[in-house]
Amino acid sequence: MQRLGASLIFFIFAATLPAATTHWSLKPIKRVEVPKDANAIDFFIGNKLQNKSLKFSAEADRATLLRRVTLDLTGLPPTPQSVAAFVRDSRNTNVVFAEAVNALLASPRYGERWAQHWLDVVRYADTHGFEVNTPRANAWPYRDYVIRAFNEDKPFNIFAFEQIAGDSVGEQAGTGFLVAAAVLLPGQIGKDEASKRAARQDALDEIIVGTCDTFLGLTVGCARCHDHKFDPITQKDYYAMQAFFAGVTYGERQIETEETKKNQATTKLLAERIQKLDLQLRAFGPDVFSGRTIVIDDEDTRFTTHLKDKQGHGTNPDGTKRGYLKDPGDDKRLPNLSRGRYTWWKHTPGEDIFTYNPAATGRFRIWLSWGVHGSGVHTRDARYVLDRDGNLKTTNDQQEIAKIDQYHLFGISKGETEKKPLWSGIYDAGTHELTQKSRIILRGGKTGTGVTADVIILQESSDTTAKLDPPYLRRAPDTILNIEKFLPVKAKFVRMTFHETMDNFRHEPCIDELEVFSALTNSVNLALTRYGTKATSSGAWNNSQHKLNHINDGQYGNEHSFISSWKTNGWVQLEFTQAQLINRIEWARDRNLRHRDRLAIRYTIQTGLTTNDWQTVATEKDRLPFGTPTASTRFAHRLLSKENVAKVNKLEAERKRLTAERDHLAKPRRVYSGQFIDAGPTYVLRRGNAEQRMDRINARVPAVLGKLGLKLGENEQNRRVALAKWIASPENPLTARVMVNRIWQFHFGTGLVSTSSDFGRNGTKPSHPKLLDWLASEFIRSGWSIKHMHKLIMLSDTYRQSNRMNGEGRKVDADTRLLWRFPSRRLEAEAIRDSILFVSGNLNLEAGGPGFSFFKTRGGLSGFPPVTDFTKKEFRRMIYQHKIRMEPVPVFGAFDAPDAGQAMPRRKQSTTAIQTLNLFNSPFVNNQAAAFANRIVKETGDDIGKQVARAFQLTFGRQPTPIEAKAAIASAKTHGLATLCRVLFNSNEFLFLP
Amino acid sequence: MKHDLSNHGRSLLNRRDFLGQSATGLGAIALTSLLNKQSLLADPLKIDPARPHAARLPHYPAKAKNVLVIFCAGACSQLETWDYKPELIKHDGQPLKDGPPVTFQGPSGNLARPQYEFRPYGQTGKMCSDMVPHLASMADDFAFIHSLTSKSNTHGPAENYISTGFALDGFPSMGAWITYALGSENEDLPAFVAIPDPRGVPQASVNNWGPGFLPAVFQGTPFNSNQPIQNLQPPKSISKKTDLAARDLLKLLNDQHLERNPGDANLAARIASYELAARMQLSVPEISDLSTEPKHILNMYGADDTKNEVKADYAKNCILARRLIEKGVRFVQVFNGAYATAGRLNWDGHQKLREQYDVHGPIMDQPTAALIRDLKQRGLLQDTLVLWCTEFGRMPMFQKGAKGRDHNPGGFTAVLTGAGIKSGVSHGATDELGFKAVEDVHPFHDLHATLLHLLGLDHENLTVLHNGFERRLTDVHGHVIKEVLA
Repeated sequence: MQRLGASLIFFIFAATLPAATTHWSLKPIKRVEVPKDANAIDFFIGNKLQNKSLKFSAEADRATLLRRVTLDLTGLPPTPQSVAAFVRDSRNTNVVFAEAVNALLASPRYGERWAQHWLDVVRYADTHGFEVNTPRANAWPYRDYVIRAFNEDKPFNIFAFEQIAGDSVGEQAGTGFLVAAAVLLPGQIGKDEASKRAARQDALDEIIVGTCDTFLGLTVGCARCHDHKFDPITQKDYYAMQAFFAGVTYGERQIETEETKKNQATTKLLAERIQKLDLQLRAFGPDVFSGRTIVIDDEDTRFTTHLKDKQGHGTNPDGTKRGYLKDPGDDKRLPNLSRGRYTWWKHTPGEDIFTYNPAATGRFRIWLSWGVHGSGVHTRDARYVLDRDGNLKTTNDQQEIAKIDQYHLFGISKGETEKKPLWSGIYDAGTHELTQKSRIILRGGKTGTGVTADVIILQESSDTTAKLDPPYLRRAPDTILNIEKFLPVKAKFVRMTFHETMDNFRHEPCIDELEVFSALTNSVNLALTRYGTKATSSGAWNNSQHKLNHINDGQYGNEHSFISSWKTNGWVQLEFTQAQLINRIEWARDRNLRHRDRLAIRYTIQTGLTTNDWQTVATEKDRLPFGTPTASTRFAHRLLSKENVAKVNKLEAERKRLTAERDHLAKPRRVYSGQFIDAGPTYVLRRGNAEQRMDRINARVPAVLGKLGLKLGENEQNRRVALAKWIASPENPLTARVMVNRIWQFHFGTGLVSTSSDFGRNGTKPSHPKLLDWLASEFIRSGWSIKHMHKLIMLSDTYRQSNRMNGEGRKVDADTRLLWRFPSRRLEAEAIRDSILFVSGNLNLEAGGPGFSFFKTRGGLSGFPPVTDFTKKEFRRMIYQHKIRMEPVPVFGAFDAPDAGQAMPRRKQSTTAIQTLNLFNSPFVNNQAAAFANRIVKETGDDIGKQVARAFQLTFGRQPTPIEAKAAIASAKTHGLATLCRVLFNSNEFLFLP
Repeated sequence: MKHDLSNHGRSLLNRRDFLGQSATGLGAIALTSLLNKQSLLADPLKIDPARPHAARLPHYPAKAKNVLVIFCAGACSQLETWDYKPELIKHDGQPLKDGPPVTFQGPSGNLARPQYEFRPYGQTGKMCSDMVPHLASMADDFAFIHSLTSKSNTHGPAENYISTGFALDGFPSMGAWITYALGSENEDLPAFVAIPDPRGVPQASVNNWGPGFLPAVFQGTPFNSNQPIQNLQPPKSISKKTDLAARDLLKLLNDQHLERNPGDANLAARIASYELAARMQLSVPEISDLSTEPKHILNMYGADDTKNEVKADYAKNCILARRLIEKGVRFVQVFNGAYATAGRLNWDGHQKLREQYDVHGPIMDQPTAALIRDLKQRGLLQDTLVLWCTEFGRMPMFQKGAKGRDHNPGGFTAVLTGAGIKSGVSHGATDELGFKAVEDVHPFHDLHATLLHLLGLDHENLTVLHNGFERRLTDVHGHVIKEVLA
């Protein structure tokens, strides 16, 4: 399970520790054996009590015990059912209690509670802190990693190692520890070099101080400027420690884990499935348009004439909004056909500017488009005039076919237009008779000073076009697959001619397979050589990947493709053994999706019974121009028959689902866990001033603690690995002591060493030094198992005592440091909030991932206004909040929740009127009280006595006393059940660990 | 440097050694009580959890009881207010010799004369700028310190430094330290009130009034004349009768619980906190209700200025501040200026200083002056120490291509008045161009030390042990500025 076995880490442990130093915490851990059958904790605690003539208190009753242990391990109260079962169980309390502890330790709720203790120590937050306090979007994977580590009981030595050098063992998230502190972002640091160096020095200081506080309980911060006055840490020691971290910078890294590798594999599979769906969907595309289609871009010199010099172009802005460059259209609106820009001229009223010359005889329906800009100069009445004979001097053949407001997008006639050059969309100018010479004149309007031209579309009039608006246009040709469907035609020959390839004829066209399908129920690809079909061409490449007969070898992809030797007007031809009835042709550049070049964007496909009677069955002309954004498949499918709509909808829904899944998995997972660089040598700084370098210094641990023997200039990761190994070593007298003391503190409220991040001379001495050492050695012996330590502690008589005060104890030891009773205390902010939600029935147990926000907006002038309309996501456990550094969480922040500015190894326990106001009056608590009342009614019905009993069971895990019941029933009758619920959430019994 | 840890830190250590060696606990108890008399022990247990804001005695007799801080967020220029530099007028448009080519925001331009005219005020003839005529008219009552320096040239960290003594996030604010030490004279109101500017919160926001690692009870409570304390009143859907009934029921349940858990001070403290909250529900709306203020007072502050809404709102904040001081609130911090918005809403005049200060000056000047004058006329200045300050100064040059000044932590001015302050003095000086403090230079820690001193607190003995450090407001620095003491 763990990639790094404890033995593997430590057998190359090279550090030595000094045999004896004067200060207790630096001496080796000494295990004093306790009498057989004695519980070590009770033995040491009991001895000390005896010395002071004190006694243990009696064991707490079972209901209290279960409440205590459930809140302690999970931060949530026990359910009435679990209390009832626990109290009723006839077996010995030792057995029943051990089972309960085991079950709670196995619950995911345990990690969510105990990870918070660790996050307090490392000052975790989801923002960078300081004045700008911008989000640190990918901090949360570290939070999730810590929760997982607690839940999986990751051995603490490995956990500690990963905090400092997790990147060396593939646990990228672990080093989130190193960069958990607030940091100034580049924009907040002065532009001058001195400011930058000073800021960097501050950022490094956080890493050094954080590491030493957290694992070693050593305060080294003051040695930044001078030798430590109390502990044997010199200024040189400080900068030697800095050398370990000199290459650690605040930033994100990509996560590479088993999970992400698995995700990559899944992503690939999904991509293949999506591709299959794509191909299936394309089969529903419309038939080739039977008449002629002419698309004329304003910049297509073959079909346009400038009558005066243009002023310039308006380039559509990048984006997908209507009229923008990548506007994908929808099922009613065409995507942006403008090819990215329009042309514009200055004009005077009535002046002829420009003509479109379709050069086609017949009846055509005409659609116009133009350039839009909100600058105000665009004419509101540009004229479009059909000149039938094409001679602009004769005017009696002219007919105005449209008057266009070029200030607005098509279909809009009021209000402001964005001050950006946009594509208008298309306007139907009606059906008109054209000759080969006819032209469409763009004529200046009476208003404005500028006129624009953009693409127009002409489509031969037929029954289909008469019904259609917008015009009948198939999807643009693409590299993946192009399907040409047409009415059945008898053919012995099929020829495809390539007029133009993408990128302005730069390359010869490539086709991986040209497929021709028979118009039969069991349609087959007649092109295959297996049917005796023969391929010829105007010339083709001939190498292992590209040859002529790859055109019909039945194999897709670049490796089995045909490339014409002609850049333009080359052709490839298939000859069947006999004339066949065909109705579908499919072709692509690379159906395997890897190559996106060499696409034929203008082409003709013809059939014939001989090579003298060619009949065109498909061209690109009725397709949207190449490059038209077609992100939306809806437009392509608007011509579907009714029975096919359902099929397509189903396929598209499936495609959407798979795409979402793929996008989610494919997103690179990143974690804010530092970036590691080669930062060059480290120097001692005079008085901590980054401008005053003294001697160069090598990475080493404080001299008093030992030697690592790293060579000068050791590489960045090796330096951290060496330090991490040294910290995580069983020989290190501090690591195990500091951690067991933290565990003890979170169970009893105070550590054996009350200054849990300071084991130096300035910290307090352990109240029970032998017990501390026994626990530390037991911690190491157990394989650094935190859950083992929980069990040891919680199953002791010491932990199971009643919390009642007694006169004797109070006189001798009012602070309960000697543990003659269980020290009761107020729950932390998280436990209070989560318990309220748990009891009201609203707690959302969705685990992991980006945090939810307690605030409507973040920072700036308005500060952080609290969310007041709650949804399910705000009801997740508080550890899953998007933690804003320094900003107190609404309502619960007042309960001494740390601000993640400085490390908070032990929380304060203050009692304030502001807490009271928040808990009694806030909409959050009152909403939950109402929800709680609804829950009770749902569970118990209308009997008010039952309702009150249930309320007490859910909040306190017990029945009300007669006095309580009487008062509660009276209150609920007059003021409603929600009032009782509000009171219960505010009661001391609910808020204190019993 | 003097020394790195307080005497008190050492004595604490000795005490621990003593406790460890002592065979009986008696010696230790005797010593503890001895220490208690000498100094305020940094021990939260000494604070009655049921009455955390009960007034506590200082280390020695105090000159001041309350503190009012007017904080001009965004770095209000010393050169456009109190630090008169005739040489700068002479050198207008010339480059600063040996000056920094690049400052906080970018390349430096040439020296620029003060953007307002200066003229003498009062008997002392103190030269003050035309931007602050109302305040200047009281110059005879003020003590100016012209030689302050900051540890940071960035707004957030610099505000942290002014308000907490550290540029880093996470340290207790001045007000938190002071209410921790002294409690309050009025337990029905928050002991420490932060009054944000009507335009928004300052750059370092809550850090300016945060508790850091002190108990949350000592944090500042933010509210102003527009924005009441959050959750002060129950939701509107809850009637007064129901609210009272809920309180009664809660009291009954808590009393029953306390009976089963006798002697637990924390339980009693929580019960008491509901009583305090109930009193606060009455006292806070009462104190925030300015409708009882007479017309001439509203007029004096500018609270009736219908043409300048921001000024009127800031003036209301100033009236609120006076009312809080009047009621014995220990520490009141009034903010003038909001978050950095290119100087639009605070004093951060990088680009068009004169244009922006023409807006900010009138908002700040009259109401602030009225606040001080009002305190004086009511006799409250005898017990109240007033500090006008900002996070750092501004450069004597304009920024290249701009008409504004960049950040300058090297020299800036603060103004003191009120209890224990010598009137009409100007102490310390910047160089003749106002670039750097050169005479009687004072890191802002010295001002912290002076503040505490006037409150009867020895800044070296007001400490809390946190993560191995005896933390104090003055870090390891601080000297009382005797020259401004009465």
